[in-house]
Amino acid sequence: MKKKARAIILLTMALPLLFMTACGKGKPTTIRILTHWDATNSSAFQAYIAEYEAQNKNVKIELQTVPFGELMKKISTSGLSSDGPDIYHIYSAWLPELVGGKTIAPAPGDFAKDIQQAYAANIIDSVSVGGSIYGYPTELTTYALNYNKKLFAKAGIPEPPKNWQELISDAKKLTLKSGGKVTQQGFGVITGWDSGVVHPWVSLLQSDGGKFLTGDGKKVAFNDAAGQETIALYKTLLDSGAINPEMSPSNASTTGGYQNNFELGHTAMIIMANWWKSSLQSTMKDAYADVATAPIPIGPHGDKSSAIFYSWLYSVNSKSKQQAEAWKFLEWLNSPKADGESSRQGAWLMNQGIIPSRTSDQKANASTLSDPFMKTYVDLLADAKPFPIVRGGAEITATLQKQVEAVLFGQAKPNDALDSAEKQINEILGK
Amino acid sequence: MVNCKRKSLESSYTKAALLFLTPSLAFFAVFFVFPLFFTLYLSFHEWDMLSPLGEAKGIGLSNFAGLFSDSRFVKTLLNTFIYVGSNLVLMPVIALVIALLLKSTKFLPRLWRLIFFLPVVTSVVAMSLVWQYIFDPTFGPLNEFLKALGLPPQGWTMAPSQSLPSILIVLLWQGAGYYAIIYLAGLMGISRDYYEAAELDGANGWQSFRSITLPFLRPTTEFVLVMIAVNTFQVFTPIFVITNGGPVDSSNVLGLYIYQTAFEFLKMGKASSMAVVLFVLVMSFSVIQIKIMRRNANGQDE
Repeated sequence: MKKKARAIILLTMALPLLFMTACGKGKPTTIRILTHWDATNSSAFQAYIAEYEAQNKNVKIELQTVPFGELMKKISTSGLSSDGPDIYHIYSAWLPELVGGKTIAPAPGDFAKDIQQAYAANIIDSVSVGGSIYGYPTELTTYALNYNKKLFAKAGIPEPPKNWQELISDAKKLTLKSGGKVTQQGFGVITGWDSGVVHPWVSLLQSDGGKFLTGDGKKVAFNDAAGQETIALYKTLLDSGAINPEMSPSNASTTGGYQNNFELGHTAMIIMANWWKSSLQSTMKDAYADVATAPIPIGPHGDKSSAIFYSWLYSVNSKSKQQAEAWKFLEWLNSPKADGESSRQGAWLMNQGIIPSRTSDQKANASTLSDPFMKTYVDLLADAKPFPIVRGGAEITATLQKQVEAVLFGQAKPNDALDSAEKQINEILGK
Repeated sequence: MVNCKRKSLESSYTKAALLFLTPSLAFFAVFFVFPLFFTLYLSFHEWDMLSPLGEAKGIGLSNFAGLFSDSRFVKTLLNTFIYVGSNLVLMPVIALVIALLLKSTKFLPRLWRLIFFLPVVTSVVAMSLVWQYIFDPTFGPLNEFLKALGLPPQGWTMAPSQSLPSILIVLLWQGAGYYAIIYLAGLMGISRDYYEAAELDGANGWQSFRSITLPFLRPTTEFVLVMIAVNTFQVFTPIFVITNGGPVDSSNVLGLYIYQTAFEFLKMGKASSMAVVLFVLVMSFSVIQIKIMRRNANGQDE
C-alpha cells in the first residue's frame, strides 16, 4: 500500500515535468534585437524578420526599439540581467565601454572571417577593439553641408560656399530679419544633442587642418590655431545674426526645431548627417527638390574638405544563451541575397538614404549612391576621419558640446570655452 | 492562569500583526532600504554599470571630494535651490488664491475644481511636449500672442536667462491645482461662526482673512510647504522633456544631472554621491522647515 502511494506521488510530481519538457521541445528560439529605429524603419525591417522566420521555423525574432537618446541607458541596464536582448545595435563610439564591461562578445571564428573579407579595413577597425572584431558593421554616417537652392537663388547666390570666407558672406546674405528678430538664418547649428553640436563643429575644424584628439587619443588637439578659428567662425556668424540659436533645439530623438527650421525654409544652410535624407523627403514632399548637398567649406588653413564619420554595428550580448543563432541571423542579414545583389541590411539602409558599409552593398547600390544628395557624402568619405573611439567618449562629447553651446548662447568667450573644454576633456582622458 | 492566557493572546496578536505587515515591510525593504544602502555603497566606488559589481573599485571619499570642483554640479545644485525657493514663495500664494476663488464661486463649482485639478492627473510627458511647443521661440503660440499685442517675442526655453523661469511657469501650472484642492479642504473646515462673529465686530474682508483664515490654515500651509519643497527637489520629467537642462545647463537641476551622469556617462559612483548629497539636503531642509513652523506655532499658541 505504501509503495503504491509513493508511486502515485512520484508520478504526480513527474507529470508536470514531462509535460514541460514536451512543450519545450517545440518551443522556438527567440532572438531579441535592441535598436533605436523609428516606427517606419522598424516596420520595414519586419519584412526581413518574416522572411528569416519562414526559412527557419524554429526561430522567432523580436525587435525592441527605444529613442536614440535612451539606447545606451537601455543597454547598460539590460546588461545587469541575464535575460537581456541577444543583439544590440550599437554606435561604434560606445565600444570601449561595452568591451571593457564584457557586455558584448567578440565575433566567433567563421563570422569574424566573414566580416574581415567583406568590409574595408578602416571599417573593420571601427568595430574592433584589441584586435578582436565585435560585430557586423551596418551603416556609415558622415557630414556634409545641406543647403536650400531656392533660398540661394532668391539671394542671388549661384553656388554653395567652398570656403569659410564665402560661407560667412553667403550666410549674411541669406539672413532675413523682421522686427529685430531673425526669421531666416543663413547658417543653422544644432543644440541640445551632443553629437549634433560636436560632429559638425569637428568637421569644420578638420576642414581647417585641425584635429579633435592627438593621434594616440590621449590628449586634446583642438585648442590650436585651427580650433580657435573654428570657434571664431561660429562667433562671427552669431554676431552677424546669421546663426540664430533660438532655431537650433534638438530633442531626445535627435529631431526638433533645427530640422523643422531647415524643412520650412527658415534655415538656408546646415551641416548635417546623411541619415536625415528620408526624414527630409517625407516631411518636405515637393520642397525636397530644393535641398542640395555640398562638401564642408574649407577653412583658411585647410587644404581639403574633411568631415568626420562614424559607424554602427550589430553586436551579440555576451550573456545571451542564443549567441550562435544570433550570429547566424546577422550573417544572413548582412550577406548578399545573390551574387552582385545587395544584402537585406544594405537594401534597408539605402531606403533611408544611409550609406551601407559592406563593400558589396556599396557596389550593388552604386547607382543610388550616386544621386546628387548622396554623392556628396560618398565622395566626402574618401577624406573623412573617424570620430575618436576612446573610453569616456560620451562625456567627452558632452563636455565639448557644453562649451560650444556656451559660445552660441553668449555664456562664454570663444577662447575661454576652448580652454575650458581642453582642461575638462584632458582630465577625462587622463583617468 | 489569566495572565498566562493574556500573554499567549498578546503573542498571537503580535504574530498576526507581523504577518499582515510582512508584505509592506518587504516592499519597503526592497524598494527603499536596499536602494538607499546600495546608493550609499556605490557613492564610495567607481562603477560603470557594465562591468560586474564585484569589480567596482573602492575609492573612499573621492566622489564626494570631486563634486564641488565640478562646475556643472554647482550650477545644477544652485538651480535646484532657485526652483525650490521660487516654488515655496509663489506656489502657496497662487494655490490659496485659486482655493479662495473655488470656494466663493457659485457657478459650476465642481467643474472649476476639475479644471484646476486636470494638470495633476494629465501625463507629465504629454503636457511637457505641449509646453515645449507653446514656448518654441520660432513657431510657438506664446510668441505669436505677444506679437499680436505689439510686444517683442521672447526666447523662452531657448534663452539662457529665460529657460529657468519658463520651466517654473510649467511647475506652477502643474502643481497649483493640487495644492489649491488641499487649501480648499482646509478652508471648508473653518466654521462660518468665526466669520459671522468678526462681521458683527465690524471686521472687513482683509481683517477676517488675516485673523481667521490664515491662522486656521496654518496646519494646511505647513503640509503644503513641506510637500512643495520635497516635490521640487525631485523635479525631473518636465525639465528632461522641455529643455533637457539646456541651454548650457541654465534650466538643469541636480536630479537630471544625476541621471545624465549615471546613464549617459556611466559614472554610477559619482551619480550616487550626488544622490546622497541630494538626499541629505532634502532631509535637512524638511526637518528645518518643520522645526521652524512648529516653533512659530508654539510661539503663537503661547
